[in-house]
Amino acid sequence: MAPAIASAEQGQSIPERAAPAISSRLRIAENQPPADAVPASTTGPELHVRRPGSDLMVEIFKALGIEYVAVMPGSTFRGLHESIVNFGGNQAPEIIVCTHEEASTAIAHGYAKVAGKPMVSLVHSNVGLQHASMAIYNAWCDRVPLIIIAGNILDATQRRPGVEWYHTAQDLGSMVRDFVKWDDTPVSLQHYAESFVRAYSIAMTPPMEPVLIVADADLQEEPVVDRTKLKIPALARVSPPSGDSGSVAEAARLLAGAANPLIVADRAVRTAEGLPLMVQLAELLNAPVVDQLCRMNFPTTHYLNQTWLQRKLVAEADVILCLELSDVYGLTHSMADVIGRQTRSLLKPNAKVISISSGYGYLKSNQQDFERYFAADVTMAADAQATLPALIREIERLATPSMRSAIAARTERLQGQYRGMREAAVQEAALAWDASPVSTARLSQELWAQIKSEPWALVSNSVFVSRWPQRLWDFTEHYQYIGAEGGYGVGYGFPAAAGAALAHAKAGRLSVSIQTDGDFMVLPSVLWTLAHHSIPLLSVMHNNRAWHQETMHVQRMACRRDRNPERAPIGTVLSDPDIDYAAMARSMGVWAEGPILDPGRLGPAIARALKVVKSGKPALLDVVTQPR
Amino acid sequence: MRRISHFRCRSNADAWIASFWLLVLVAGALSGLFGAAQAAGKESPGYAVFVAKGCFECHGYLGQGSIYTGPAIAPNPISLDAMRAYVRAPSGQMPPYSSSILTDSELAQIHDYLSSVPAPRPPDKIRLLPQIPASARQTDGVRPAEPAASGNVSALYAANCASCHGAAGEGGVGPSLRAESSKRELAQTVELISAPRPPMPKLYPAVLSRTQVEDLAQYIRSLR
Repeated sequence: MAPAIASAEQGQSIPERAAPAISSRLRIAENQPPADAVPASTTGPELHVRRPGSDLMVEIFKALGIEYVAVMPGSTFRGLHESIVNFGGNQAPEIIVCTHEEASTAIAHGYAKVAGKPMVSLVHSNVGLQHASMAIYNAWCDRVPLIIIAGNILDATQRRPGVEWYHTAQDLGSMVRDFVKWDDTPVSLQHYAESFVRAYSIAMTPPMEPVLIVADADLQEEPVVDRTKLKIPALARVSPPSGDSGSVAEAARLLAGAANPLIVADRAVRTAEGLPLMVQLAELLNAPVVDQLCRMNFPTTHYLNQTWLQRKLVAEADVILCLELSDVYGLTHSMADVIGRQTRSLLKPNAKVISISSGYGYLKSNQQDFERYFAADVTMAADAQATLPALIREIERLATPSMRSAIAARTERLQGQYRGMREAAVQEAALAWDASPVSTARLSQELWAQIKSEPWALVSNSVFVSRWPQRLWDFTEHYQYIGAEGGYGVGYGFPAAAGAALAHAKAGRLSVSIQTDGDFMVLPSVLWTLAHHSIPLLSVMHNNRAWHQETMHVQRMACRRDRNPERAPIGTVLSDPDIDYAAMARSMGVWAEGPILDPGRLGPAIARALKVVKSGKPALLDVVTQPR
Repeated sequence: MRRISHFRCRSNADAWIASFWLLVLVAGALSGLFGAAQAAGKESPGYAVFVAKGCFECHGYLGQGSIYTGPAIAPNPISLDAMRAYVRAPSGQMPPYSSSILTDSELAQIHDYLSSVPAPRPPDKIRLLPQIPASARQTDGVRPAEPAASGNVSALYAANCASCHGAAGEGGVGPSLRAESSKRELAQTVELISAPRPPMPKLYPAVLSRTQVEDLAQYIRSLR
């Protein structure tokens, strides 16, 4: 096909008997994906588009400081893709190449939590958006700003027959509208500019959430007629809502007068400035803090961080301050996973609960991520971090000398409690210390020994390794932990770690991830992205060879039904054969060792892997571990 | 003189060589013992049942537990009777194992296996663990000294309470008991043991008699 068309271009005479064949080939060519050749009869200026609309789209990226665009290539955004590469020089933004849109969006999720600003995930119309939707939902639940741009071809007369119809939706936003904060399908370039800047502003206003902009292919590919008539508007930086003065005063009154105040924080600290505010508040009240760890909310080295005494503290508290909790009901009630699932309150009679969350002012109905209803005694639809300064001032104003004396008198008891809590963790960590498979405590401590003197950051969810890092390491900086999936959607971990590492690398920090195997197997292709972009990340596998949570669930069902719990591993384990993660990593260009079953081999292996990561490359260690 | 000095050198060399081989023999015996204990553990019938029935999923292969899935049940497991009572009718989130899916014999094998799990190294002997200054310690180590008490009651405590509340009531999976006498009256402590709140196992009357419950209550209230 191609040679015949080329011959026509070159002006070579074409035998009459070949002409019909060329015509039919041209018709075929029109229905095929674009190739290098153009119809022989087309000449002149319409061969080129000198100032495509997608160049303006890249100008907008640059105006807003978008550093990266994660992409699995797709034809509906070919125009924007080319503009990023050629017009934008592939710098700020730079394309991060992924092999799945769930990866590109989860990379953007992890990146945003470290960088404090959004990245773009560019997806291919409806099919790409469907792939991305799991990761968008996780970011929605996790309150993280992302900008998803989806290509589309709205004008039906401009869609080539076949694939372009399958890859178009009339209302692309409807696919994800339940879990994005805002979406728009601009119909002109000026509309696009205003919508994109608005989307950025909305994404970054607490509660921060993903947003979607549809970049129609015509807008991308048609020429800009008069660039001077197009304006990129200024960004409106919306200050986050702070609690109203009456509610803040009431909260301060309750807290200052409490005999056993408790502070519980989940997504309270949004920026580095939030951490010292939390410490100031806790010290002012001499109140223990439970960090629910969707962010890094309180230093683990501070005696008021009593996270592992949550049940006891909730039961003893007379006033509880909840800061950006996902689930106040879950904090104050227990529900055992037994037949009937009865709940019971954990609160002392007459205990007061204060809840501050931007989520009260914004939520949607369909996805049930808002958790069970609970009526706090003082409820503020406000951003917790933004409210802390006013709350601190009000407590300082209201606290009487006798209150201050009562507050100070708690110190010895609380310090003793903290020491007991840390000592209990040390005692428990010693159990199975030399076991094979490797204990999660051993894995965590072998890693800690070699990173603690570096500017380190843990970019994985620590719940699956029984929170050993938070129980034994010294977390002191806001950036050292970024929480978890948000929506508990498996597949977040590996790409989010990659995105977080991308942001940390710019700040010269060492990113480490304790990576579970079940999560890893959703998007192992992130290995290639790590290698291709030289993203320095140390992934230490927590390889328990199972979707362990699900094994326990099926086992529970079997025991409840009084039959064959030994069959619970059917359909829930990742063995037979055992997956060779190190070989997989090496196949995609990532340095790797393993599997490691002997805890004695772990330290030297970590040292070798760290050398690779410090040279600016990713590394992976496959460690076979205890279940939790 | 030369013969004496020669003899002395040879005698020293022999002494070193003998010491060396003695060390090798002792090390070999110790590693054999250690290896034998390990082999006995994982090669015991009880280990196979422990794994097959899924106990390790929540409690770990050595019964070390996890804060999210299940308490430590080794070393020093609770008595077989207490274990049976709880496993058949757990009061917490543990799924129930009736005798039709876990026989008494299998449970006894599991208990044997858990009883064979050796004590862990003291944390202060593990370089990679944070060292708690002795002045700040709430306990004296893994096995702190027990308060003075009658042998029977302390054994009763050790068999049924220590694995969750610590050998000296210092706490662990379960809360510390050291302030019990300042928190509750005797009758309330007795009531708490008799009708505990989940996840504490209910040992009365299946495992403990009324008298034993009252003795334990007195004992616990003496813990400091």
